[in-house]
Amino acid sequence: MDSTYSYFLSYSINALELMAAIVALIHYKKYVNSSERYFLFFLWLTFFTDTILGPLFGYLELDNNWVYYVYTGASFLFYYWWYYTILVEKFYKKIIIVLSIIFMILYFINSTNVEFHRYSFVIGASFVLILAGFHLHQLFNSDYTLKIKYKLSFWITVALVLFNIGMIPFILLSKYFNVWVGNSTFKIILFVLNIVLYGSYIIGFTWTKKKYNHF
Amino acid sequence: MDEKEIQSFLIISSVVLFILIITMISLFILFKKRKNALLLKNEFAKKHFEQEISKAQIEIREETFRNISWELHDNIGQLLTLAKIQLQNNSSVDEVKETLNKSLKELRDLSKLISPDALKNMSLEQAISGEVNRFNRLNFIESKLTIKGQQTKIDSKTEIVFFRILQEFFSNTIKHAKATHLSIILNYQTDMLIITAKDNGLGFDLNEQEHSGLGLTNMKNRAKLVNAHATIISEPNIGTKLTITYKL
Repeated sequence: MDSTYSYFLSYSINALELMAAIVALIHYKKYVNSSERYFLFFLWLTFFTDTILGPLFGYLELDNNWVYYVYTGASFLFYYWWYYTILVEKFYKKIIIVLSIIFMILYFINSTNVEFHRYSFVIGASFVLILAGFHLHQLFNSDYTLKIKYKLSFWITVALVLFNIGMIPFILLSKYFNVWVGNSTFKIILFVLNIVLYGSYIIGFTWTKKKYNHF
Repeated sequence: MDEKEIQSFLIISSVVLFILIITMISLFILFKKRKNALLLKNEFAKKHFEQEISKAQIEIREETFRNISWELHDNIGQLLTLAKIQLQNNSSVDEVKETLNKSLKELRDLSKLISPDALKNMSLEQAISGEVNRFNRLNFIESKLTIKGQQTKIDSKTEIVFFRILQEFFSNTIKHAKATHLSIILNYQTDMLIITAKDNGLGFDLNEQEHSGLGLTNMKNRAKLVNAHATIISEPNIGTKLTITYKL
């Protein structure tokens, strides 16, 4: 019973990833002129990594921790690069470069021990929160605030903020209480966070309008 | 799952949920507040815009009254005086008739020009050409209006602002410049309207403070109001040139 339930939750997360990727594909025309268009490829990459590549490595009895670790590093660098393209202020761009370098260094140091992999995630996620804050600040001081629900970058930022702000305490506390996060009960938390993440993506792709996505 | 696991699950899930909810609420409140502030600001800007348009309209009307009084006195008044003198001097009936016909014609033209309906429905071109014709008729200054390119309809409020800027420029030319020629060009390009008005008058030094009375800043601000850009170039003894660029 417990294992069926756990499988159900895992596959639900894959299903969410697939749904977000399909919705992104359907609405691609609306944001094709902005750098958000790379999220289409990113979402499909996420789906393939989680659904095919990870299980395939597990099936071949290879260590699939590395698949996820590489994916984690690539995804954070992708977010940083995306914020680099959409943030206007030079000061913010400089900070992104500095944070990216710090992240890469810590990422390689942490890669020496599988136990430390989670810290790379925490660091990467914290940096994403900082950059998301910059972007929200930028949106805040623009006329986009009036029609914020049509702005795709706002929804992506909301998705990233909510997911990462939940993931950080989740990872740190599970380490503190020394519990295994793969446990079916704890998967519920992961599942809820994924609903928030992909839910925001799906809302964003559905609601966005073409004229609000041109940078 | 043992007791300890349940406990830690409860703690972790409540912390995560708590943080999530707090973040959502703060984001919502922040954007709501900011949105209201922006709406208020826009409302204020709109009001300011409407006020400025009304001001320009009032000024145009005042100018029109001044022109009417001028024209009645200098043009029709003169013709009627001539008719009276002709009568006193026993000139031929035909001569008097001709003078009276001329004054009647001028009177009709004037009345047509200043009827409120005509003023309201006038396009920018018609309004400028009305001014140009008047300058030529009254021998104030030799004026010419040239229109280049395909005419495009622009917003009537924008037209009002452009006309008022030009009117101010004309009044400066007539009052101060002692110019003999005035040329106005409306150049419609595919995505731009460029209005140039040029006289060959005295001109002035743009750096000198005393020319603030000419309303140059006012012209520039007015242009800015409708997202246009006005530049004034002037050289002593060569003339003054006003350029308004407006994105269509």
